[in-house]
Amino acid sequence: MTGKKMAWLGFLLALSMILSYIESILPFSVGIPGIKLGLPNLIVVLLLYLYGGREAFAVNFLRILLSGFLFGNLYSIIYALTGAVCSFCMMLLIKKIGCFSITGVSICGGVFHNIGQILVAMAVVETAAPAFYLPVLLIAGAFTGFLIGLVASRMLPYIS
Amino acid sequence: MKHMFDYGMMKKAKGRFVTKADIFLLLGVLLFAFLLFSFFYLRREPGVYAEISYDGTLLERIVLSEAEEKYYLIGAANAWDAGDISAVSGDSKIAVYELSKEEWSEWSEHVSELAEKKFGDYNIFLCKDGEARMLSSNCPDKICVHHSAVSAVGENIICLPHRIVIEITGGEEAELDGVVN
Repeated sequence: MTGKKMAWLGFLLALSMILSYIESILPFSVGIPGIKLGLPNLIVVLLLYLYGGREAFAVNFLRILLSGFLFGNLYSIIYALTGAVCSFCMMLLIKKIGCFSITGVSICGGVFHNIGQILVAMAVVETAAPAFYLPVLLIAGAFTGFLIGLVASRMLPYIS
Repeated sequence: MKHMFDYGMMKKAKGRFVTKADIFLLLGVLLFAFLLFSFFYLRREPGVYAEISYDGTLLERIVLSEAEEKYYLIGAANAWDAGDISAVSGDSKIAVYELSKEEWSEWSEHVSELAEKKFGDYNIFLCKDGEARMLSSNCPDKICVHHSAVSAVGENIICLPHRIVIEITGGEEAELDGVVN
């Protein structure tokens, strides 16, 4: 790993932690649990395109761990990690397909982050009740993923 | 700002900003969600019961359609020896208690300390006008407390940290609640 790459990864990790923090203080509560902008995913999709899967996963993992201990708790870390792993695997998969741009990858990430969290919630409470939120969270994930993806697609040419 | 929209710069981008496949993906997800949406929410019927479950097991079924305000507390079983325990279900570690309005208003000032000392992890909810609302909880994320009131069949309030679900159910369709074993 070159020094330049390490500096970039550290910089992007710091940036994603700031985005995590901004998201945690945004009053974005609409009475439906699980709807959020997904700002840190901006860094994850950019890393996917700049470096690749391993680097993106490492930065995302560290971001969840660090910002979880700073602004959250152990419970929120485990919950965020499962959503992140689910969305990350699907983003890698859809990036391999090739016909999608960074916007499509981000949409996929947003949607599957929410699907992952619903599955975790169903496993935790051991009933199907969380599935009730699936339609709303699909729409929310697709829209926020699309917005994040548009921003990422415009940022990518300038930083690569 | 001018250079940001410079055409030459844009052409350097490896991929395009949005491809046709992206738009199809977005529309596909939205279409699927709207289909589910109409399936889930269009047949909204007012609920009859609020079912409280912990870890997937039903603790208590409370009749919703009463006009009066009723306060309930979900917390550690056998924590409250007073006569107004509404239900201690079997050998579950968690039980549902009924609070009188006086108890609630007396507690509400420093309810967190009092309830936490007595019941450990607790959730307090209110049933009123055919809807249920979470009033207070000592869970870390407070998502259940910020949740809007629920009244229609299928709607629910979930407190993930405490593994508590309050689900609204109807009269006849009690079997369709989809409890996963």
